[in-house]
Amino acid sequence: MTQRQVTLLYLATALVLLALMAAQVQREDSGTALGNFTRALTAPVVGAVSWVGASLSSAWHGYVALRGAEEENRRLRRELSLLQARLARRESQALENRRLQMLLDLRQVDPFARGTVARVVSFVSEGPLSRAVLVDRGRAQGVGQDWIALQGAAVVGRIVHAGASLSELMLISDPDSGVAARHQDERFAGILRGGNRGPARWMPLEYVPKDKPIAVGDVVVTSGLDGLFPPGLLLGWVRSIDDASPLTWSVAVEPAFDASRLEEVLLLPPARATGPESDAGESSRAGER
Amino acid sequence: MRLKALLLLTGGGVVLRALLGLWPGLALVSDPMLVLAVLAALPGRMDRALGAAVLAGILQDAWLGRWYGEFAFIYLVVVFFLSLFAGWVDLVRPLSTILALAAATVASWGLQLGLSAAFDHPVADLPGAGVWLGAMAVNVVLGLLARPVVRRLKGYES
Repeated sequence: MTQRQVTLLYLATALVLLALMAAQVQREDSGTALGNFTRALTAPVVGAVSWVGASLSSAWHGYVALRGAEEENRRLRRELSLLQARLARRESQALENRRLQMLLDLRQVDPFARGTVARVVSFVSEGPLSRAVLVDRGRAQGVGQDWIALQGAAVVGRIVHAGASLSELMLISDPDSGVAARHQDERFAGILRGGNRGPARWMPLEYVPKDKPIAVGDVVVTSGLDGLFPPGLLLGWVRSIDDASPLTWSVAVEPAFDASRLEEVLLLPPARATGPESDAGESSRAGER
Repeated sequence: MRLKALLLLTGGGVVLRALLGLWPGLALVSDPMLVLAVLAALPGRMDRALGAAVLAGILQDAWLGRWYGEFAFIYLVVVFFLSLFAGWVDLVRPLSTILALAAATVASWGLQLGLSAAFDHPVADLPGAGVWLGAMAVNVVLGLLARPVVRRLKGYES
């Protein structure tokens, strides 16, 4: 091939790729048949490498753990006797709580009944533009599009591509992400965007009117208005408030989940799939700083 | 570069991609598929570099969910200019390889931002100079480590 022909081939390929992208932007969809095919093709490699990595890490941690086991054993025995005493007290409180709930006829809904635990097998984030991880659960395990992920009581993100056995989990810090949020105590709503603003990678909480009281350290939880995340799940803590805009506060929120420590997540179906939920705020209150 | 060498190269890239994905810090700044596309372009054969760029790009696109074809396009542009440049300068030499990898990293991030602006897609604040330098350094190290292996592939420089 002459250089002129090769240059034309480059140009033609570039135009095809641009057209492919433009079509996806119009459809607001990034899942193409070719994408699904290459994802299925590479999934076994990603899964195998992750399995080997996790096995080596587990063997090493097992060896390290054995070395300090004796001292840890003594310490744990001391803690156990203390905890047994506390447990006895808590059990009597739980019984009392149950009796009171029956009296009030509270409806018991467990939003976590259909949850499944997934292991983070790979970080696929690239540059400043996306924040995503791969998890080892997919359609074969019943996990689908828009399932949500939690780390403890903290919201991590949602599934954007559910593969056969691996799924892509977009973190709430991704620039594309937006979560319907609420101030835990004052109950006003806002939208928590991704985007990693500023040096500390905080996330902007948008549409907070200036007549609403807000302070650094306040807790932000999900509102449930987006139909994905059940209400009351912990999103993060207010870390800075700026009055740059005349009508709304510019609020920066530190996410409650820690991306550098993401090893396992709890996957749950989206709120719209599970029906009316009880406010999960009690669990997030435990995470207040 | 022959087809077998091309497939070996991109297969190695997928494994490397999965390996680096085990460490969040490295996953953020490293781009092994870009490194392999650049290494394929260094001998200056534009037609073969095109194949490597598109193959590496669509494999990268499989797991990086913005638009399918994004990284194939970015690698194609980067590799095109590197192949052109390889007509004037011997890019296979170590110093030239380092400069090519560093420039390709910056160009790749720049093109990602450019495409985001073109398609009106939200982006985060630009990372600081330290992150850009870190990304360049990681990709250069990856390239220098992969270079002797890649050069041994049959048909790489022919």
